[in-house]
Amino acid sequence: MASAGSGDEKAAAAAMITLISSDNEKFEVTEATATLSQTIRHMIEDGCTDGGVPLPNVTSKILARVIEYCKKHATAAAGEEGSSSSFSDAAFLEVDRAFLEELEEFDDAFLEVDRATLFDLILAANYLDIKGLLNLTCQKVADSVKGKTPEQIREMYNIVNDLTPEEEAEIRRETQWAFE
Amino acid sequence: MEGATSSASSNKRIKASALPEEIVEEILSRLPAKPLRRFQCVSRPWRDLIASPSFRDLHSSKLAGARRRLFVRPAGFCEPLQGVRRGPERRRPGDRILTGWRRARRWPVPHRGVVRREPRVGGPHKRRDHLTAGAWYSVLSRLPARTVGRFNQVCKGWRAMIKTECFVDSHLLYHQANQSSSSTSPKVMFTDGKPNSFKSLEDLIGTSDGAPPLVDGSSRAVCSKPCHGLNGGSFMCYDFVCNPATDYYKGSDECVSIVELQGQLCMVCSHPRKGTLEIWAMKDNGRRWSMEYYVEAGRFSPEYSSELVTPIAVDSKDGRLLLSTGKVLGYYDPKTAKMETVYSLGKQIKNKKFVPILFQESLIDPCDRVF
Repeated sequence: MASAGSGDEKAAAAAMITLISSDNEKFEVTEATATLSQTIRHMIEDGCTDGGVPLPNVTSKILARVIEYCKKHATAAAGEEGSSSSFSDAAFLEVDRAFLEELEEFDDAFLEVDRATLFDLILAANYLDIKGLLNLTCQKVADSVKGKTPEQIREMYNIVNDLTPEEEAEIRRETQWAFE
Repeated sequence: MEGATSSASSNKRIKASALPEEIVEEILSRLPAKPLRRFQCVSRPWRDLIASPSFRDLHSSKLAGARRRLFVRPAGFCEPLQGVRRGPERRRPGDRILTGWRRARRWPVPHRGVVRREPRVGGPHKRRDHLTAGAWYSVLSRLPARTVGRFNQVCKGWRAMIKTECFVDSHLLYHQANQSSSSTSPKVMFTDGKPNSFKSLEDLIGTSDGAPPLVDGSSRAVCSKPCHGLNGGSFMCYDFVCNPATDYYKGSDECVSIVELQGQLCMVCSHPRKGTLEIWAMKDNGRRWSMEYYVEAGRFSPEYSSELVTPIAVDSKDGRLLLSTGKVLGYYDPKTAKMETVYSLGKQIKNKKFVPILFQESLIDPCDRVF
């Protein structure tokens, strides 16, 4: 609250947006970071971000992670824009490559979370409309279910098997190759 | 005891309903075909989701950008496929494995996607019409709307096909994709300007022994017997530009067909008697031909020496050639002249063959059938 006056000279360079989680914690982020979320971008365009953006579907724990992701990727996006004009420059490409590698490492580390958190991240990414994060998290789940049997899937995600034994037998017969 | 480690148990017990359906769809669409098939029997909503056309579309659009896998469907599995939605993107010459096929006799042509056959398409027709419907589907979707409208009256099966949503889609997609690249739409005409009757077009395509490959936006067909004033071995595209065959086409002893390999139009001459296979690539837009492969199958790998041997694709990494005879499928390594069989029907199966097709970059066998 007290920061409102002191940030004046910086405001032009980096407008700050306040995000408010479901448990009322406030997070200050730059506009560049916040606009990775299409939902927030639209709110900024509509000019309704004064006094903070309430995000009733996202807890502070998850929001902190999401912001961590956005910060990292916002700098990545800025870097890309900066270097695209001199794309042929070998030095720039070298820097780009190193940066992309770093980004990949970051993403890998970022995904080292338990399944509940991962699901919360997916929901948050979906709600905030952050394409990159949604991609990343969905792919993670997809990779983890790839080798599983239907029984394991039901067990893992607590899904009730509502197919009749006949229906299930028919699917298995039709797609026997998928079970081998 | 239970709940002693609350984080672990919460990790185990996540309700499926925790994720909305569109997220489940998003996740599943990233899976390869095999686990997807398996997961059809997880539950009713999953089964319905995986079977829905919108999911199939999403899945195939994801597949186009994702890592691709070579995937051979075993014999005995049969799924009706009809072919053919050409995506708006065009293939670049540098892509890893490229399609091409030959002797996929009377088999539909999946150029860019697979659409489940609607039961009524070609419905009441037996054998011939029924089997060629897929090939016609791809031909018709390349024709201008006015022509297609006229062909509405050819037969019931065609009318049904032309009316289907997926046909309208692929027709539209094809013409959108080609609008920018070529100002002229394909014409159903011979170069002498005579309007082409349907029968004769059928003769022409019929000689190509299956699906014409698509190279540089033109479908190519080989005309292996003299007809309509064209010499045997001439190449044609649908707007009937005629490319001469190579001088290397020697005559009736050879079995000639055309395929697309690495984005190039290639002519395949197999000599069943000598047991060799030559693959010539067209250079300089038909002015020059160069021999890319010479496979002495008869000498080194007799099981690949049949006249049915078909180059499917070239691995752009190591230059290996994927060959299929309908009975065996394997890689030919030009450096060592060795064949490595990846799939075989086995000796005891006499009356069946498989038809491998590269769909995007996955290899599928749409159907095995009794010949």
